Amino acid sequence: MRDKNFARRAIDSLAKYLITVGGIGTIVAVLLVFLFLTYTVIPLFKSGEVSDRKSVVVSNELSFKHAVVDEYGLLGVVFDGKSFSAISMFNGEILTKFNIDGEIIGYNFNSKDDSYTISDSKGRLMVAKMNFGKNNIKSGDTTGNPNYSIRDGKIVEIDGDAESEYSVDIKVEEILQKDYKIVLVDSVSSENSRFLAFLDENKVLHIDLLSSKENMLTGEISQTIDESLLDMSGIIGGSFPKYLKINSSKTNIMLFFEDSRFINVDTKNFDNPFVLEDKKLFNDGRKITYLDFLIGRNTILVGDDKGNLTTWWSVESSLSKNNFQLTNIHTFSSGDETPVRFIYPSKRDKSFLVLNESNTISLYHMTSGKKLFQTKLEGINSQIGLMNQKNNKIFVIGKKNIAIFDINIPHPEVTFKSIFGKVQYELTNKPEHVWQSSSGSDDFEPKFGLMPLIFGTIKGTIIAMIFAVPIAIMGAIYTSEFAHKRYRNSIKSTIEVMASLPSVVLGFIAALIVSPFVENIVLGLIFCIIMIPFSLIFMGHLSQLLPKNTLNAMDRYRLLGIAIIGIPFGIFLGMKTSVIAEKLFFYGDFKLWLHTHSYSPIGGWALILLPAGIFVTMFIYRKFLYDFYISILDGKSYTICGLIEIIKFFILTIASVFVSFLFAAILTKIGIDLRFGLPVIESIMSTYVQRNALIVGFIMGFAVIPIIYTVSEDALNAVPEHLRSASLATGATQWQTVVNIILPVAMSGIFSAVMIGFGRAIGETMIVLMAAGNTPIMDMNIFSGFRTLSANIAVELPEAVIGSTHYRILYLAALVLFVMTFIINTIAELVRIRYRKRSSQL
Amino acid sequence: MEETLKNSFDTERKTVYDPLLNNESMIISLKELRLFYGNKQALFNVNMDIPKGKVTALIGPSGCGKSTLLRCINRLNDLLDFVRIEGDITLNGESIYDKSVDLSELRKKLGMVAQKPNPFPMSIYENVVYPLKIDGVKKKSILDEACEKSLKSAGLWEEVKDRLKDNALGLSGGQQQRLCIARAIAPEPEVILMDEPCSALDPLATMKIEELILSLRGDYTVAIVTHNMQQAARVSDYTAFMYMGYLVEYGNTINIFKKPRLKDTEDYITGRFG
Repeated sequence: MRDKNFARRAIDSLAKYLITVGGIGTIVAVLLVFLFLTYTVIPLFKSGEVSDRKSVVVSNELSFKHAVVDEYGLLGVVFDGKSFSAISMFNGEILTKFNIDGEIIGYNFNSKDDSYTISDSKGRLMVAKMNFGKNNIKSGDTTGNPNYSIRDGKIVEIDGDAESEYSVDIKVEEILQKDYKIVLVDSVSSENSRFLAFLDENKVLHIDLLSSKENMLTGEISQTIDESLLDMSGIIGGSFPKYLKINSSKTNIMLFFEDSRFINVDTKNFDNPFVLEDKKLFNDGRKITYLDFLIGRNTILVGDDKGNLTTWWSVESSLSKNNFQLTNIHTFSSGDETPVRFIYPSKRDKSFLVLNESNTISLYHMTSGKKLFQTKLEGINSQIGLMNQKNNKIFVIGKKNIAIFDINIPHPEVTFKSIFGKVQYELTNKPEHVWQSSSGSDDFEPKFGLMPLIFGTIKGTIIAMIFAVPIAIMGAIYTSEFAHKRYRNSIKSTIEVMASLPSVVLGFIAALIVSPFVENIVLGLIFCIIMIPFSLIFMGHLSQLLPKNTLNAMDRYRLLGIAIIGIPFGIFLGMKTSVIAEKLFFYGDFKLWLHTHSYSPIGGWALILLPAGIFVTMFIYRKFLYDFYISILDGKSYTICGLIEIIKFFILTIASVFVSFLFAAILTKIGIDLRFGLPVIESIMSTYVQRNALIVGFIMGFAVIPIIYTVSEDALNAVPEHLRSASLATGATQWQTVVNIILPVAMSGIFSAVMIGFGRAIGETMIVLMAAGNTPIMDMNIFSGFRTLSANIAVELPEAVIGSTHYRILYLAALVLFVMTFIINTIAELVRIRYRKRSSQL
Repeated sequence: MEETLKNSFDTERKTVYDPLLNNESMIISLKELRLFYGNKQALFNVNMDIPKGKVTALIGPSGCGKSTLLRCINRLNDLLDFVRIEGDITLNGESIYDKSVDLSELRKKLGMVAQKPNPFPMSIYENVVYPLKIDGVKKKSILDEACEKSLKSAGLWEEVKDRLKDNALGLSGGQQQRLCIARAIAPEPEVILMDEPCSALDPLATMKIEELILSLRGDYTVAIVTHNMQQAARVSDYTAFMYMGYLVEYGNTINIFKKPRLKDTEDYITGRFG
């Protein structure tokens, strides 16, 4: 007896313990996922770290115009206008010196390949290329704490057993010889051609295209030079421009003067360049003190004598198309009013260093507008600020010493606003929400706007819900209230089997079978969606004409009979009416109508507004005409009443169509077109894409129908039987009972079913990935694709570098998704709890 | 074998009717009513006429089929899938099991009050006018009038007239049951069927309901199922005693209680079994 009690108690406490552990474990697991996501995301919003200043004294006094440093920040090359000197950045010793004979007049640094294009007084054009090299001499275990020394003009790194050599090889190549002075020069090189622009002493602009061709047979390299000239002496006038720049696409040559005058030469037509723009950048008399391109040669960074830095690129004028004007986009004001001395664009991203006369060094990121770092240096006559390619060191070089900062700012492009707000990206006209995370080129500006993905998620979900909710709830009502009990369970389990269909299969069907099929009959399909309910209601009305005995004898099979006849008839009607409607309202071709904006949008509006038309018509009918209608029926025989009902049904149908056309006509008259230019959602129907939201919505609807169906069927079944029979006993029909009693009581349960379905649809990945086209655009067009947060994560996470901004932003997308579903499920659960409380009262 | 024997014996059992019944005009007639739940027979050849404007009580031990019989009259048993009904019931001489019968029209003539109060989860007012609304009555004046009239008949008007818009579920059990009676009489039915209307109520509430039933007599025909014999004796004009699916004895209440003709009836009303 004692033993038995002991065993019972032991099992009891063990069960209690296990259940507690399991329950808490579940909560902890969810929290852990949340914490992990947050933990991965948080570094995005941290400002980064900058070490204290380290100082290096330079052995020989430096004078220079420009400088460049290698990837590792060990070796620098200083250009002083006559020669290139390689210096070691850790102790300031000059390693090698490369002299150029002749007086250098013009130079331009090209950060893409660390080269200078230089011109001298004798008319020579040269390219000096800094080839930084790292040579592994010995490999072995490293300690992570290397020692540096200098040997034979090279920097030697000894780290444990490993030994490496760092060196720079300066190569100067003469590319052209002219017999006049070249004042300003810039060049852009690609694999086997070089685009050159230079201004000579007579203010003639030379545009040269040097291309080399290798003969496939002989291996001989032949060079051709094309040149076109533009005499600018008349335009320029007295002074000389200070800067000459070629943009990345080689379509514009830009000349800047000290007094902020700007001349833009269009070279799209190589043989016939012309002056596109001639204006002053600043109207308030500010002067340009330094100017350079941001990485990628698209954005001009202009430093002025008031300490401001402005960014500029060409924007299409809002007044006239194809009229591009250099426009000020951002202004960075360092708070230091001394002139900008030097600007150094990062070689890694869209950040840049600005050095003011007062020795203030600032680091900004253009896209996000973030000030990453700023400090005022003491005891240094700073001339130049540099960053290495890894963006982990800043060098400020003065005449006698170098100040070094180690920086670690991993995510300069991220701010809350740059992710969730509109950002004006390079070369775009206006701030926009854009997601474009990667591209082929190094100087690409990543666009991490999550809004298009959130929009896509909501778009897909809404369209899926429009399909799924009516079908699932109607199905639930049918099985719980109308179907014979014997079939109820088998219907329910069949629909639940639908839930076990892998979504990849549904996605496959959507992408490869449904999309091509729908493409050809899209309007017919839309009309079927309208005509099937119409036909079912019509059949219901028709069935009332049958003799009462027959009708009562049909009992429950009446619904089945109506469905069997009504659905095919609806499809038939849909196909037939769509052909007529296409001719009448869509100019004979629906898909052409979709993207021909000169066609009237009235047909499309009427189609979209049909539900509103039906609603308004029914409202007017119930409110004002119902009594009249009842008075007509008074005293008529059963069959006559049936006939009158059918006539009423047709009148109401025609009235609904008429009302929707009325609305459509009003909207068309106002000039709102559903095909373009709507605020936020852009369009409702527009250009047809094969893999579009309509198809995804339809198939995703299939994926969420089972869950909505099951939960709402349970909610309907949970309505106490006594209410049902009480309502029936008062003489209500089954449908009246459903509408007046069952649905209101089960409403919160159905609502929570819809919310759970909503949560499912938001997180659905595979179907949207396969069938939605994955275009991250913000357009509600039901005939275009979209990209959801979940599909985006699935597509991009495998290619994102661990720890990179892209990687963390994908985690942020996951977090946003998590929060969205969490909120929706919480609402659903709260409603369900309320519902449970209420139903326990009944 | 034993089953067949029992059945043959049972079909020969004859109901004992009170000759006083012959003086009444009948509104409902049950003719050879047999009811099967699947294979199990629950009612055996019930022949019974319910007099118009009188209160008829159905008594009998639990499971004797009295509630089933009541639910046959407004065809609520149709809702159950495994029920099979044979025989016929007529209301005012017309069969209610005829195929041409419109169920909602029929049920409008037969008000029903259930065992447990079952108000709808809506306001008191909405509850009372529900039968009228689903019938298509929209005029507020008609609805208001019907609401007041029904609530007055149900003796609830004074208690709820100031809170007609309150949820009906906030009423006490007795009030809820009277509300259900008000709802049942709102469409002015010919017959009110009551299925143990007081079984879930306390004695005071029961008393009020009983008074109500007595006041309804004359205007409405009432058929009430009860297993409280005192209640049957107090409220009814006629009493039918049912046992094991048979109608055993049917007659004037006073006669049934004072001098039952059959031993079974006597045993039951004297409390020897049941």
